[in-house]
Amino acid sequence: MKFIYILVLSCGLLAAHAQDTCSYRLEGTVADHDNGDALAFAILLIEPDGKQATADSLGRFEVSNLCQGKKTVTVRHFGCHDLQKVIFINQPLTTLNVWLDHSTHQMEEVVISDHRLSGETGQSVARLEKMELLVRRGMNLGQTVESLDGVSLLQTGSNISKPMVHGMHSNRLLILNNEIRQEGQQWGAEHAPEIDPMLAERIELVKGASTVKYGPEAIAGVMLIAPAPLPSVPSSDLDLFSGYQSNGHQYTQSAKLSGKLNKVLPIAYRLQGTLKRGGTLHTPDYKLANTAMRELNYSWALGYQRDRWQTELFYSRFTTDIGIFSGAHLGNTTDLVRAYSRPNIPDTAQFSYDINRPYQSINHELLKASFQTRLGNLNTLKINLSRQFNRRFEYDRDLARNDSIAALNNPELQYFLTTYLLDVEYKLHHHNHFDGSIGIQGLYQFNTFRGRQFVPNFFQRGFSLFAVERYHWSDYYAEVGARYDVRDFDVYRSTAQGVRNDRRTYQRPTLSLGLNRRKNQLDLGVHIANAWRAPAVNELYSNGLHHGSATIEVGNQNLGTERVWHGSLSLAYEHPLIDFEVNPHFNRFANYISLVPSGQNTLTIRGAFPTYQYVEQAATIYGVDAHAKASLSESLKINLQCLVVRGVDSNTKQWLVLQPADRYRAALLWQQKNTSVTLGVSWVAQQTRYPEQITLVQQNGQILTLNDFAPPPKDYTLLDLQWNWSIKKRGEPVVVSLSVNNLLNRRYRDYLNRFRYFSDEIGRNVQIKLSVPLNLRSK
Amino acid sequence: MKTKNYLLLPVLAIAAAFSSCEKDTNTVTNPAPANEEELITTVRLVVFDGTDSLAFEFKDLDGEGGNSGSIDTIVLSSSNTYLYSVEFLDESRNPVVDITEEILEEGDEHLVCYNSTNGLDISRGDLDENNLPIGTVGTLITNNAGNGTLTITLKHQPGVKNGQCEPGETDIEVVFPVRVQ
Repeated sequence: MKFIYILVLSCGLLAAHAQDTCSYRLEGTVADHDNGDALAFAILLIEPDGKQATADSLGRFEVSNLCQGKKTVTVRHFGCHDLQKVIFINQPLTTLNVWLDHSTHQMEEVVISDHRLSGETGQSVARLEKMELLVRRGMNLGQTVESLDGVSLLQTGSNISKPMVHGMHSNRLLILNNEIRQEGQQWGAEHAPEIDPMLAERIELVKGASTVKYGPEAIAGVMLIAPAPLPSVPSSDLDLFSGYQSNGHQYTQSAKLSGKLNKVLPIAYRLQGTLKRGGTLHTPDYKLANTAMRELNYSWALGYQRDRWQTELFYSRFTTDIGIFSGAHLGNTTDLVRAYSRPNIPDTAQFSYDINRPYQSINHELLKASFQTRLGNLNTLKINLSRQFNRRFEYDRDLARNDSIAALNNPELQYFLTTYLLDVEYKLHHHNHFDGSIGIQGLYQFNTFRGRQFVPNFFQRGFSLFAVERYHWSDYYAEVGARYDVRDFDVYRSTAQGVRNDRRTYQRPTLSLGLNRRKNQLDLGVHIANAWRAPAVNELYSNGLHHGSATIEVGNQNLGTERVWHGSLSLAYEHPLIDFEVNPHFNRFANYISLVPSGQNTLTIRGAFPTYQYVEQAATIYGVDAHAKASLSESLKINLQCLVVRGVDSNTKQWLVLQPADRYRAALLWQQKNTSVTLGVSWVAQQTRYPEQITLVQQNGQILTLNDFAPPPKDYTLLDLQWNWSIKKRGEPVVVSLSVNNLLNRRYRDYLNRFRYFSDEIGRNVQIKLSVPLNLRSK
Repeated sequence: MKTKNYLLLPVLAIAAAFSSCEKDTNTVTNPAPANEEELITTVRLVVFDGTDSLAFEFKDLDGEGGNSGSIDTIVLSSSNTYLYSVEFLDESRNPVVDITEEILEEGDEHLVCYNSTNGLDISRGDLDENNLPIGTVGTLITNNAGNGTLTITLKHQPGVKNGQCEPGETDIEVVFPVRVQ
């Protein structure tokens, strides 16, 4: 408990006249002494008044109705020991700025520094905290974050899902896994993020263009996935999880061992693994053939710290095999028409844990070394070096007819992507009101393929420089950031004429401005950014048949950079009885890269396919997401949530394809002591805004013009129920949870599921989960 | 207590041993030729009227995507009876691979379907082990003169073959223009 703190200042505005005894107010901030970062969600207890306050995302807190006199303020922050400070309140408004020094708890700082909000001032941030993640264990990453404001899910069947923020996904949504940009084959709609959410202790979603701090891919926002910090005191803990879900009889087992060795060898460590196995899923009426899956993930971390520096080594490996519903593999457009006009799928499939063709087999590795040091008292330098290796195999439905080829059982599509990243960031605190950070980032990546060439071999090199400066005064936080990126592609394609080499370079600056004002529990933020991204390799070079959608996709080598002006507001109000947040956003793209029907057809031996080509559009995407939580009584709360997104081609006034339908959710939450029960109802509207005119060539050569291959599915309402019981055991909770999704076993299809053409969504799903922390050696 | 700490070291050593980083063994600058496990580039219809044989082809040497395929017009004389055979080839390889043989080997999973808009009468002349037609050979009878199309479809029907064209996945679907004169 050698906790050192520094109280920097305690100054208040002078009162014109004396106040009545108990109407004094205390407000201020909690920040990290080392780097000036706000410490979000620090808890403050004020005695003897018995008042409590929680710092907001910018580390600001406010307590009202305090009585005059001597107070003991206890400040608690995640991963730290309590800090106590005695202050005197004798003015109507007292400001208290607490600066925590982490010199003896450097390990926590790795994660605490994730709370840094530079790059996020004015932006709306949605979060999943430890407890929320505990009850979501066993789900894939997409399903885990689906409940966050502004998120919808882009699905390919039920086992593959990826998050979509404000109608944007894949190349436009950056995922930072343990501070490292996830570099998988993220361009494909059916390529789910290769991340095990079981390791995460906190997930934050920063909405709106965040490209200054995080790089060009963060056009829609950035999702930060952070594991728990390595222990800072000698200890040893084991965390066990078991989960079962009834649909597909899926089992998940996970274990995490973490601790720190004694002073002789003060190394902190963590070892974690997850095993998951699921069988054939079923809709309310029929089983979905070949929808089994299995997953095996593990990770380890080692940390060592000295007075002024700390270093950490982290390795993780994610492997999964996912069966693809066999009814969704298409030979040609005739098969597609037949598939979606099929009235009923007979329930002939057998339940099985076997994975047959077609399926995906994916492996993702991350090795990361990080180093952090303090330079002077208030500045920090942080260096992350990482290597990722992503291997993606896709197996078609049928083996080759030739027996000797079939015997090899090769995947028809193979990608190997290797990525090296270097991030250097120097954070400086120049003055009481100013802090900033500057950084450089380097990227070196190469991709190769075997089998079918859908995207070619390439090298990608990137270099970036950024600077962010933050100014804090009174109720205001202002921030300005700038960045310059260079991206270089060196592409090697296999053609009938031999290997073709193409080289192209993209570069541009990025700017952002943010402003926050917090007063009387009301937080108002404004964020404006000018951002861009280079076209991705699939947008430039893909060329081939997409079996899941029966279309030929053709890249466009003339694509320029995608540029956007982003503006958003966030209005948040926090009060014990009611809190709400409204987040309207607006994106104006000068050059939105999208895949549209070209009006041409490609004649192949399987028939004629509509050809889709990547083009640049002038597009506007805007909308609002909001939530409100109100206490109806001591133990009953109601929670309302909505998501509305519109995407329009600004020139043709046509709607953009694959935008989320309006979505509303209401939940009643009853909580008493250790038990909580949530009953939720979600309503998803029918998507009536989608591009018209898709050309489709029929078997006899006749060309049909349709609004879509099939109209968007009808609206649907789903009920869900969750029961949680938790008890704290030496600070870590034992959690038992029972939840039911699709409680009424409704038949429905979702517009954002690519398999909506072929099958219903899965039926009722009961999940039972148990998390048990075991303290092997006390702290 | 200390001994307990050191017991953890082997665990960490095992963890480290498990993390042999995988490597990409391919060369970026020298991509392997794009390779479909199985590619059918050519559908050839051969008709024989007793004296002459004629061949009509659909050909798409670079497979799906890339360049469009080319197609011949089938020219036949009216009110005539032909023997026909249909061949499926991979002409992107040297020597040319005849996939028709593989189709016949797995005859119980395949069916060739014919759909004519100007009255071509096609009867399949081969049977699989379940006495269901396959359709790679047979007779073709023309009626009146006129123009139309002939659609040749190869269905892959593992486990679901029942003699009808409906079940299964379409492996090939080619629409030939037809002139009967």
